[in-house]
Amino acid sequence: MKRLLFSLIAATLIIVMPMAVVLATSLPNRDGVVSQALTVNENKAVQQKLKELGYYKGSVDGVFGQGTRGAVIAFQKANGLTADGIVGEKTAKAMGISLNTQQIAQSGSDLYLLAKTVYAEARGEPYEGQVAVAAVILNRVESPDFPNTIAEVIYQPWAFTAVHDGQINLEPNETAYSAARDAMNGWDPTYGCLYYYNASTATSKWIFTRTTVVTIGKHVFAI
Amino acid sequence: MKEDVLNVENKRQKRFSKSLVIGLSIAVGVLGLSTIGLGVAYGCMASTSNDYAIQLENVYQKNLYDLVESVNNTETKLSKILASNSPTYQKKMLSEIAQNSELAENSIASLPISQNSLADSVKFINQMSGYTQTLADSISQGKSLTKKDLQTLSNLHDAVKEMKAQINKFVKKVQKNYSILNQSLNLDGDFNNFTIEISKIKAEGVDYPVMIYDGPFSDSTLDKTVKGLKGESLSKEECKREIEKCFKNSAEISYSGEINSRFETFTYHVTNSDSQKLFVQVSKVGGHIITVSGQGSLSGEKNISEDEAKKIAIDFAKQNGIENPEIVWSDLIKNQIYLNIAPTENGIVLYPDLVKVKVDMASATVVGYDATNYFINHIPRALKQTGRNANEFKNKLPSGYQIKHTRTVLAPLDYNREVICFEYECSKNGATYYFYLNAEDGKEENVLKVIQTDDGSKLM
Repeated sequence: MKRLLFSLIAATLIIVMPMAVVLATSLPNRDGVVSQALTVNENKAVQQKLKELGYYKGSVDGVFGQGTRGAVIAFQKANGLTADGIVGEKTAKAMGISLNTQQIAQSGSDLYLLAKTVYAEARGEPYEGQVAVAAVILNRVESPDFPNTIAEVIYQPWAFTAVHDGQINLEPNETAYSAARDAMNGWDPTYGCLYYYNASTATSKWIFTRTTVVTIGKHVFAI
Repeated sequence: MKEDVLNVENKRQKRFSKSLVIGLSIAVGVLGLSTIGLGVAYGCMASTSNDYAIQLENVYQKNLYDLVESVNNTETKLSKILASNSPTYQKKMLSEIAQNSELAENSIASLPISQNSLADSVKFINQMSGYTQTLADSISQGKSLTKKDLQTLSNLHDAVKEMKAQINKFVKKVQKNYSILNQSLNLDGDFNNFTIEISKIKAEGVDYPVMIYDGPFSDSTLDKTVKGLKGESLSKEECKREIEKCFKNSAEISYSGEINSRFETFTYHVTNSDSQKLFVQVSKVGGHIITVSGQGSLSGEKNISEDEAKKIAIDFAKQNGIENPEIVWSDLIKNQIYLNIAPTENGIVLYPDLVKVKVDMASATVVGYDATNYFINHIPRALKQTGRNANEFKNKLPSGYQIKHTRTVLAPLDYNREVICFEYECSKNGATYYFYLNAEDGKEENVLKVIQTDDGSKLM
C-alpha cells in the first residue's frame, strides 16, 4: 500500500514539475515589459539623453537592451529614484523626456492576417513566390472585382484553399511575415496579378482561362 | 477412484463454464456500456455539428437579408436623386448610396458564392459606390450634376431596379425552408446551386451602365500604364550585365524567365556577395532594375548604422538613374530598414515617383528595391516653384500644431491629380501629422497621421 502511495506521489511530481518550469519561464519578465511599453523613438530619446548625460556609451538604435537598462539604473541611482531599470513617468520626467502616453500602438492585424495566409498558402515556395501571393491579395483589395478589405478578401468563401481547409490558423513564420511586410510596402513581383494556382493540382477549369503572367516556384500567377 | 476423478473433472468444468459465463457477461456489459457511451458521444457530436450548421446558416441568412436591404435602399435613393433639384439633398443621397453599395458588397462577399461567377456584379456595386462618392465630392466642391451625370444615374437606376426585382424574388424562395448552407455544399463543377441562383440576381437584360470617372475603383485609376521607361530594347545577356553593375561581386546570376505584363522584364536569380538569394526583374527596354525581392538576414544583427544604411540606399537609387534622390520616410524592422526615396526636381519632392529600398543592416547590402511607381509615373513635368513659400500659409494650419519641418512636394491626390503642395510635418500631443496645403492658394489638400503599430509606423 505504502509502495503504491509512493509511486502515485512520484508520478504526480514527474508530471507536475516540468509544467511548473514551463509556466515559470513563460511569465513575462520586466525587461520584456519595458521594451514593449516604449516605442522605438521613445527608446531612442532615452538613449540619446543618457548618452548626453554620460551614462550610456552604446549606439542610439532604439533597442532597449542590457546596455540601456544598465544606464537607466545608473541614472536612477544618481537621481534618487527607484533603481529598477524601468523608464516610467518619474524617470522620464527626471530625464526631461515626455513619454507619449496618448498614442496607442495598433496591433498589426492586417499584417498578421496577410502573413498567416502567405504561410498557409505558400510556405514551401521561394521568398519571391511568398511576396507574390501577398501581393495578389493586396491587388484584389484594390480591384473592383473583389471585396475591399484584406480580411474580406482572405475570408471570401472558397477564395483560398488554405483558408477553406483551416491551414490559415497555423502560426506564420518569420519568412511569411517578411514577405507580407514587403508586399504591404508595395513590392509586387507579379505586376498586378489577381489570381494564382498550382498548375499540377488545380481542379478548376475556369482558372486556366486567365492570362498567365509569370510562374514563380509551383505557382502560376495570372490576371 | 475413477468416479472421484470424474467428479473433480465435472466440478472443474462447471467452475470453468461459470467463470466463462461471468467473464462473458462482464464483456457484454462493458461492450454494451461502451456502445451506449459511443452512442451518446455520437449524439452529442451530431448535435454539436448540427448547432454549427444552424449558426452558419443563420450568418448566411443575415448576410442575404442585409444584401436585400442595401439593394432596396439604393434603388429608392437613386429614384429620389432623379426627382430632386437640390444639390444639398442630391449630395446627401449620393453619399448614402456609396455607403449602401459598400454594405451590399460586404454582404455578397460573406455569402458562400464562388467569386468567378459574381465578379461582374461585385464590380458593378463597387463602381457604383466609387461613382456616387465622386459625384458627391464634386457637388461639395460647388459643381452641379450635368445632364450626362443624370443620364448615367438614370441608367444606374434601371440596372438596380432589375437587380432589386431579382433579389426580392429569390428571398421569397429562401423564406420557404431553403438552406443556403445545403445548397452551397451541393457542388456542380466550379459552381454550386446557390451560386447559380444568386448569379441570376445581376441585372439581366439591362447592360451595366459605363461609369466614367476618376475615383475609387474606376477603370482609369486601375489603368497603370508605364509612362517612364526609356531606352533601347536589350537582350537578356545585356540585362544581366546591368545587374552585375549594381550587385558587384555577386556569386551567381542565373536567368530565370521573362514577364510580359504591365512591365516587360527578364527575371534572374542572383546570389549576392553575402550569399543571399535575390529575385531581380530587369526591364527589356533600357535594362532598368524594376524590382528586387529578397528576405535579408534573419539574425537581427546590425553591422552598420542607420546613416550608413541610408547612404547605401541613396547610392543604389542614384546608380539606377533616380535624379537627386531624397529619403522621405524610413522604418526599421529588426535589422531590415525600409527606405522610401523620392527624386526631386527644382527642389520639389516628387512623391508620385517614389522608389523603395530595403537594406539589410547585417550584410550592409540592398536586399529589396521597387521602382514600379517611378517607371509608371516619371515623365518630364517641367515643374516650377509657385513663387509662394510655406511660411505664408502657416496661419492656415489648425492651432496647437507645432511645425517641425516643411518642404515643397508634388503630391498625388484623389482622382489622379498631382498638385504642388507645401508639406508641414507637425506634432501635437506627441503624435505626428503631415499637412498638405496647395502651394498656389494654401487650400488644405490632405492630412496624414503617423500611426504606431506593433510592427513599425505607418502613414494614414
